[in-house]
Amino acid sequence: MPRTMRLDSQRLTTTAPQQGTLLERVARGDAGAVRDVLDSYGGLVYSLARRFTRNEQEAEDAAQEIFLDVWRSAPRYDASLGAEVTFIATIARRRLIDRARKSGRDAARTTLAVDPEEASARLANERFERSDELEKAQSALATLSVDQQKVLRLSIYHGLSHERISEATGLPLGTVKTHARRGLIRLRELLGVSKVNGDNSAGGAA
Amino acid sequence: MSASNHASGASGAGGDRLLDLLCDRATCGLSEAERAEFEALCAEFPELNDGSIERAAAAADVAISRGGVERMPDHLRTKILLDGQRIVSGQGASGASRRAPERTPTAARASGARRSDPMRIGGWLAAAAAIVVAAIGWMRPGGTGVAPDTTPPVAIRPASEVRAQLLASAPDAVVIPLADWDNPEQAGVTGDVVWSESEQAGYLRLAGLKRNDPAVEQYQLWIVDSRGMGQRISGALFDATPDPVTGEVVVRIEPRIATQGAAAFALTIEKPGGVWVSDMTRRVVIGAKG
Repeated sequence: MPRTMRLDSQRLTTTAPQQGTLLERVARGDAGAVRDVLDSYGGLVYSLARRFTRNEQEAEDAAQEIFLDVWRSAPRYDASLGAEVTFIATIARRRLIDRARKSGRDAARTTLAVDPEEASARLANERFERSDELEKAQSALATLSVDQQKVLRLSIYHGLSHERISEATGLPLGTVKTHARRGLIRLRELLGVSKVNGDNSAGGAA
Repeated sequence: MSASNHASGASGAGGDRLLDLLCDRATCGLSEAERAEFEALCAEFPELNDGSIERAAAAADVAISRGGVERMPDHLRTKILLDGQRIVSGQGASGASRRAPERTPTAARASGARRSDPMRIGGWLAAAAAIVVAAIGWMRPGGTGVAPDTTPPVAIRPASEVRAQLLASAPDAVVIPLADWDNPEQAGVTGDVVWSESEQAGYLRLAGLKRNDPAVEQYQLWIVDSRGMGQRISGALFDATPDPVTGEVVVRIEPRIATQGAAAFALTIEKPGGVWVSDMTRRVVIGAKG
């Protein structure tokens, strides 16, 4: 069964056949695909921007910049290396982390109390939320040790530096760094997002 | 070869260091010095910089975020849509797209026509007078309260439906009338707050509020709860975008720390981006629970 095959593979693939074609349509100059991309990922990008920035104005500016990157990077999207949602989230995170760095801030952006597990029901219900790759990423996270999960959640979601994670958790700094590194490498293995050759960076080189 | 070996394999210390930097870059970013080191190591070990660590972090972030994704505001969506269609169809990016986004007519319409609830707010003008008199003395300028967060949660949304939904669905939703606050900078602004303590959310609705220049100033809503004025909480930071039909501004109230019995709401004018501690000198409206 196709669905099972996708879950068995080490690739982040998409559930809906047409989902993998959105960025290809953008790359072909199909302006109608812009609306579909926004319908599918607009809320995700906006939520990421809200999380990484200090106020609404910054979030809106950042979201606009991210989508400029998305439109221009669409020709580089390779469906064999991951789902569109991962490609777009990679672009978004890179730009948001850079913005935070340039403004002299930590990448941290939310209070620890604001956790998605505690989020209210103001959901966008975007298409990507029903896709296989999220199931797989969540499963991959669950296979990590408790400490690795904790460190990665604080690092990836909350954007805390290793030093701040060490302070927050009481774990030695070296242990935090080891958990972050090993956890990310393990996730990469489980998700199958590594490529064999060449540069597949979503938004180009740093 | 495992992914780990793929990354560091025969690359030795340089490869290990690059892997560290790749992990840092994917999570909290690199300093200028680290970026220079990163670029030098990438030149030495180009095969290690395949973007896979960033993709793994992004996939994890999306998975963690699942269920907490918010709707993009309509005015922002419209702006991005128009820019995107222009770019994708080959007409080039709009230079304006990197500027602060303008509030579009869509955004204004998003405020929507709002039906007042006379059963719940009837007579509020009279009640407001007494409330405000009491609150004025309580909320004198010069307080030392601290806004809870450097990321004031602000959202100007298509709020008419969600405001009504909050009123209908939250058993503890209350309507708190607002009125002029002690020699206000803008007199005659009226409105109300719908607030649900259980939902920790609400909506501010105002009529007569002047448009602000976001580059100069913004409006900031403060919540005072049982902890008192000293711990007032920033509930929203926003620009006034009156609905072209009703003239009203509706803003979602979304404090980032939990309130403990919100008792009063006060609107001030602050510098762009808002403030942690307001001196409360530029006042607009205020209201308190009866």
